[in-house]
Amino acid sequence: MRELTVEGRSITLDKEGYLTRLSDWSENVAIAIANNEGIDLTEEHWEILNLLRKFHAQFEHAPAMRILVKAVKKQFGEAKGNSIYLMSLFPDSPAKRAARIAGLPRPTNCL
Amino acid sequence: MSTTETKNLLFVFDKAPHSSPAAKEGLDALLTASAFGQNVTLLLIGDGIYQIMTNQDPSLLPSKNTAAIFQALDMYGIEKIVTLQSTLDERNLTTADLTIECGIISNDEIADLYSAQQQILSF
Amino acid sequence: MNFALHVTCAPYSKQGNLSALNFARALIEKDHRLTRVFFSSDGVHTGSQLVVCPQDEIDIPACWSELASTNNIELILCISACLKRGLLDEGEAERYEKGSANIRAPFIISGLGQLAEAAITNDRLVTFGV
Repeated sequence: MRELTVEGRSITLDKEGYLTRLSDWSENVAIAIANNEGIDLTEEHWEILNLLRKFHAQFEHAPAMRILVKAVKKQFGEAKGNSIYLMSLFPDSPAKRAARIAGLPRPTNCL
Repeated sequence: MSTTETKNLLFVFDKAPHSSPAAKEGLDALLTASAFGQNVTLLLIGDGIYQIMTNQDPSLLPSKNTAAIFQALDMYGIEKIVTLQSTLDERNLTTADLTIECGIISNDEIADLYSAQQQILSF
Repeated sequence: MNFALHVTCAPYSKQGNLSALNFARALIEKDHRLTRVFFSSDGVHTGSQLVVCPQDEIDIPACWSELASTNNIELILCISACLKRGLLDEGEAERYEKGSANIRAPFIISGLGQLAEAAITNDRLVTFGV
């Protein structure tokens, strides 16, 4: 268990860096989680994070990579709807890393 | 994947949502199978049709709103979703009561649907 | 013929689990190949190494283990079903910071992709759920 302090509140993360309580999420918490992972959030990051939060609110799950790419392509076009672009924003494992920062549960990756 | 042959896979959901873990786990299996590039059909039969009824609010249970997950099926490339006319009739439902578009087949056509499949997965 | 089985009910709760075991034995006796058994939903309880069974009753989980070891059958437990039901291998126990693991060899934990793959790569997939 790790802790982050954001605006005087103590936020707990699990071993892999996901929020223990999703209701703790706020934009400032996202910034803190991202900083903790060495990422400074830009407008481009927020496009994806907001899309992810909307996806989760609408479809009741966090998408794995394949569907994240599709959703991004649908909303922002080919230039952004590809894994190379998403890797550049959220290195290593974009669907998981972006879900962590967006305050979503782990993507159900059953493959 | 070692095989290049595309198979017809039929997922059959016949249980009401929030009645057993099967409804949610079948949905998880369906979403996962969609990544394998096969020819997937979903049949909602009997009480399974309640899984895509409009105006559900399981937040009071509380339970996940699985009907919302069905709305993502087209993004997963699952376009063939069918039910039986008799399933609707027996429950006094029409397609207007359903959250997603659903083809309707007759009791006679279901035999053809089943015999066209290589595998049938029931939940 | 190549077969895979899908078991969705727990041993001792519903007959389907034992029926699946009997069916698996019959397949092997008839010289079919059983490649994989995928356990999901309550079926994952089959993979618990903590099951204790009276000596005069059939130890269903132990029978699955023995059958699989003798005949080179993969026994796969659905990971999301396992996590919800408190069935963890060493890796998952460490990941979620739980005190112990309880998966019986040779069962392994994996994803639903293994079920889809079993459906695609075998001639028959037979589901046991009631």
